[in-house]
Amino acid sequence: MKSHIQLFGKGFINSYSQLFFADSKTFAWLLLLSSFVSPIMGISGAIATMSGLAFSYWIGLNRTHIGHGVYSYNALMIGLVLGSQYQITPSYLLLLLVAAILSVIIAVWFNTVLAKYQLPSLSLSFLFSLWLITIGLRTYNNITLSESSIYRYNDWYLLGGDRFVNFMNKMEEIQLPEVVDVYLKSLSAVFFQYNIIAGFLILIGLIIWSRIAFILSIIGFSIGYLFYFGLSGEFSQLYYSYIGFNFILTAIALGGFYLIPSRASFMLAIISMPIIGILISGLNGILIVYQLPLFSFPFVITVLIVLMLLSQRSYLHRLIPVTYQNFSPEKNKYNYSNNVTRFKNSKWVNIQLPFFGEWFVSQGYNGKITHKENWSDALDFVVVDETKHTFKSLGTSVTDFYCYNLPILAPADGFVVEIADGIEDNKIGDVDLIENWGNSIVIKHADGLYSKLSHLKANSMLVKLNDYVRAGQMLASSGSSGRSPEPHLHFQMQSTPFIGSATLSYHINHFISRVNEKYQFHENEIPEEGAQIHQPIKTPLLGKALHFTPGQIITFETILNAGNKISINWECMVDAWNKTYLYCQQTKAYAYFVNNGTTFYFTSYHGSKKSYLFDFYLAAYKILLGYYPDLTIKDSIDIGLFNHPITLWFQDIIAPFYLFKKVSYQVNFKQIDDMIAPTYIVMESKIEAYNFNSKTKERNYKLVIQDGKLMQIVINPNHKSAQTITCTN
Amino acid sequence: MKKQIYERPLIQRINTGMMNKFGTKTEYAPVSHIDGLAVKDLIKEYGSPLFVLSEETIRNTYREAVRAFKTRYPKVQFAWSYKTNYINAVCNIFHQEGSWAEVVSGFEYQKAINNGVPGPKIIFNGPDKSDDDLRLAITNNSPIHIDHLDELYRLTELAEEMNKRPNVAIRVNMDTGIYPMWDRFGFNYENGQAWDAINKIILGNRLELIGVHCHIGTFMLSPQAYATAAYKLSDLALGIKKKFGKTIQYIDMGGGFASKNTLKGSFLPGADTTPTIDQFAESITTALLNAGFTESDLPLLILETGRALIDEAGYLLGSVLANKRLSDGRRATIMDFGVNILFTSFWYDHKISPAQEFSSYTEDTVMYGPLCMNIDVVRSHITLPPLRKEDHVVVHTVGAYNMTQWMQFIAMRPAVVIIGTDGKSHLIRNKETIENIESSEVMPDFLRKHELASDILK
Repeated sequence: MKSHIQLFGKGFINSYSQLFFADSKTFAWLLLLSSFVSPIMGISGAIATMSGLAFSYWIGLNRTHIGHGVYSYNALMIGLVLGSQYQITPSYLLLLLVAAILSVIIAVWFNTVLAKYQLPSLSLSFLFSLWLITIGLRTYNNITLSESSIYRYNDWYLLGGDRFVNFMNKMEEIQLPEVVDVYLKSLSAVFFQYNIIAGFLILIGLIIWSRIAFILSIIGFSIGYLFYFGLSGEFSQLYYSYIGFNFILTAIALGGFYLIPSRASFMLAIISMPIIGILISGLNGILIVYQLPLFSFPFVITVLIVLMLLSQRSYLHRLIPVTYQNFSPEKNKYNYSNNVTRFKNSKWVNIQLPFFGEWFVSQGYNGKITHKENWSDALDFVVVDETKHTFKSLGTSVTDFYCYNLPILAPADGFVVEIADGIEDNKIGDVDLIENWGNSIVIKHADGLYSKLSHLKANSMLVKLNDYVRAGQMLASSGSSGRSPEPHLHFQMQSTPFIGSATLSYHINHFISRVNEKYQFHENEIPEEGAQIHQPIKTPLLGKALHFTPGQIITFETILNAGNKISINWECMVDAWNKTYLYCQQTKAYAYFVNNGTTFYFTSYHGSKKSYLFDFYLAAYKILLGYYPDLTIKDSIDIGLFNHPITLWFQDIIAPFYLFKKVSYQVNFKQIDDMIAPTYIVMESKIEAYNFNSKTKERNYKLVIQDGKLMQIVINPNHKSAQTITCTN
Repeated sequence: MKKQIYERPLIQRINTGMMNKFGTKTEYAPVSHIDGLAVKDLIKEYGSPLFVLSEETIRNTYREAVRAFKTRYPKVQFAWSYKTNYINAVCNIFHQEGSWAEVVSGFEYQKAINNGVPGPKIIFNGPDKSDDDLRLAITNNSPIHIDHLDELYRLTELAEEMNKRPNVAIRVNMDTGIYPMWDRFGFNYENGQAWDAINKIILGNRLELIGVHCHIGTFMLSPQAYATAAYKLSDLALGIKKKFGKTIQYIDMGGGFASKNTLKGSFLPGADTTPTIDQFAESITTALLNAGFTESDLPLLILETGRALIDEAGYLLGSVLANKRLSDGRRATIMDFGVNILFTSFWYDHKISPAQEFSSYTEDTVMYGPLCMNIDVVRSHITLPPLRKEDHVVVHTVGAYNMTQWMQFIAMRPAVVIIGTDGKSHLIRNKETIENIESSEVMPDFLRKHELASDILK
């Protein structure tokens, strides 16, 4: 029962914020409040919303969507409009109920149809339901038109007596500059009101929710205002404030909601404004024949046609659509730019180095020797000694070369689709231009993704054609067949299955390079010529300690300053997309993570920053599952997560154009008790926030792994306020 | 014009016709410099005889070995076999390169500790471990390789007494098709002793079995034997996983790789017959990778290679004391070094080069050491150009075992220097003095005096 009430409460309040694409609770409450500036409308809206929710629940629609208010915000709008037009009578309530249900049904229909094109249905259902009802009602007499919008004092008196009437009068008498006045009224028109108080409440909510949206609303409104002043003043004041919100909502939708806010998205928003203007006049010309109101129709049409246009592009380098909707332009922006920094080169198929131990890239992409034209994106590997020689003694025989006859491994899972074998090794210095690639193996990893390993030793194949191989499985031995003057391994990715196919630029998932005895970790990079690299060597203890099984509950305990002991429970959960996350039972915060065997990293965090889960999220943001002393892993953290919201406001305002804030993460291994069978590992991580290049905030963590599990998280270990969270299960 | 060297005349039978196994004439080149430093300068500075080590050769050999294994197997660790050469400077070169320590006595264990090797990186082998040694190793969390059941029982008692869970491995001996079979160390694989020990350790639940170890022999010339050994150890590790669900963390293949020395009685020189480190690596890693381990259970491969890593980096410089002719007419040369400091001359025909220019005429010679003992023969036959008193020679490939097995017998032990990668020589062990030796002697009061000197006119 409790969960049902929660669902309805959530769906109800979200229906309000949905009108502005927002998920901000404060904004939702302010919108709710503003709808009650006209109480009849407010009540009517609330009733319609609840009816819509109840119907969608009863009929069995998706509860997550119900909770987000997806089906009910159209009902809310219907309720508000009808409330402004009709008196509340029993027959009206019946009408309201029918209208709300109708809007839900139509909303589902539009959602389903438009989902095929990955388009939102926006307020289409509201518009169609309302038009049907408006036309339909003309034949019914039992519904009386309301006079509340004319005799507003009656409403106000009901709300707050004399005082409120006086207050509202005073407010109305305030002489605001015309632009501001119209802007506020336009905002209030989103809720079908014509009132600066409602407009003001919405404005506050809008600013609290999103600075970017606020700026977009100003931009949209200004252009619309100029557009009408430039052309004519034909529309009545009331009418163009209704119209004004079309500009505002379109600017927000295109400039900051459906696209990642950026210079280009702002540009697109600006370009769309004249289209809105044309659509307003054009659509009004059609609808006026049937005496139907325009409302948000121009906004809906503009957004839909522009989004359809964007989905048909071939080049997506600007105007990036939001793929994971955070319901906030700022969150979308920060999340996106951080993800671009972190994962821009991530691939569906991860390719690892095809050998054991450390090899040297003797020729990289666009190499000077043979990596040219269609075959430019390939890697040649050899093994070198400290003096960078590839051979010992005289180097006159293939066996003198360090990289001769070494095991060659599968770079990823796949089928062996092509094998060439039986070509003898060349004499040192000689090349075989007829059998250019020598003994080779081509493996199919996915449609259009193949890897090829060439110049292998004759008759060393350990796999057959059509064998399924696993990443890291031994395939053959290195040799010097084909166009190979000395033993080396040629490795390339390609999109077609032939020996001799053109190369495909593709990043190596993980590798470690060594420069002057210093190790560096690389993720999704292309090794450079001259680099000495190896596949990361894993420490099973790290992988085990950071392996969380869905259903597992990890409990921690910490002692607060006051001496109280509190316990913390994190449950590992898995969602419908097989993504794992930790859920804090106390704070309801959750953090998505990935453990791919080589690294453990968090991808996103949702919920209270006061939760200790947030500390773990920061502390173990990204960890290499192999103990390398002196190796530093660096990463960048979403700036929206590690800055106080208010201090972010300056950044928010210019976020579409420039990010001056930065949050960096780094972690080092500090201690291990035993290299063979370690039971104790200490890591230290540091999170630093920067404005331009000056540090504004720092937090340190110490992670202790012991007895095969994550034993301790110490917050700010070197500070007197250090706090230790200890595992108890 | 350069002054021609003088060599005493010698009479030699003329060999003509086809090549034969004795060759025509010596192909030796004089070795006047080691790593760029002149032999005569080294002797002048540090005295004769003198052990010289080459830092560059040590590092290069080590790196080559590591490369050979690490490019064939994902997890490899070398542990420096202290008994091969435990001069601290030498050990530290290996430790700088990342090698752990492998010790076989409390004394060696202490040396490793003194060299700053952390306990968990000291592998404690050998049949002789006292209770105190074991206690120390348990405290330091060192892997202890159990050699016999008595040690297993004692270790179990100590674990109980100290309330600790020591990390242990068992040493396994086995038939790898070579002779002699080293069955005096560890537990036998074929007759089930190894399983007996494993069962006792795991079911006893007092010791943490983390590895299995073997050391199939010394100066091994057959890589195939290592493949057999690796296969048998893998079989144990996989059997333990299957029977007890316990993952064995490492397989220690011990050492025994041959160096380029020539064993006495060999037909061909060692340089031509010794397998390369790549061949050993190939045999061992192929056996391990094909044994059937899952990727996550693939054990760490530990190697305790000693001789093959250091032998070629060591030289012994010496000088001619005298030449003489034996009763049967053979030429004999007496050197200032003998079996006392060149212990390995008992089993190798060491390559010995003169350190100064010579002509192409050579003579079969017996090379004796300086000891007044009949056994002191360095080479019973060696083809050398005529050497004069105080000429210098360089003995090659002496880095392994000599600086640990040498005797202070009749003469004192010489200095040891290392030629650093900086091109300079550095003393790493002083020449022994009479004070060194007498410092540990104790004279009871009643033996302090005698009257021999009383009637001598001073």
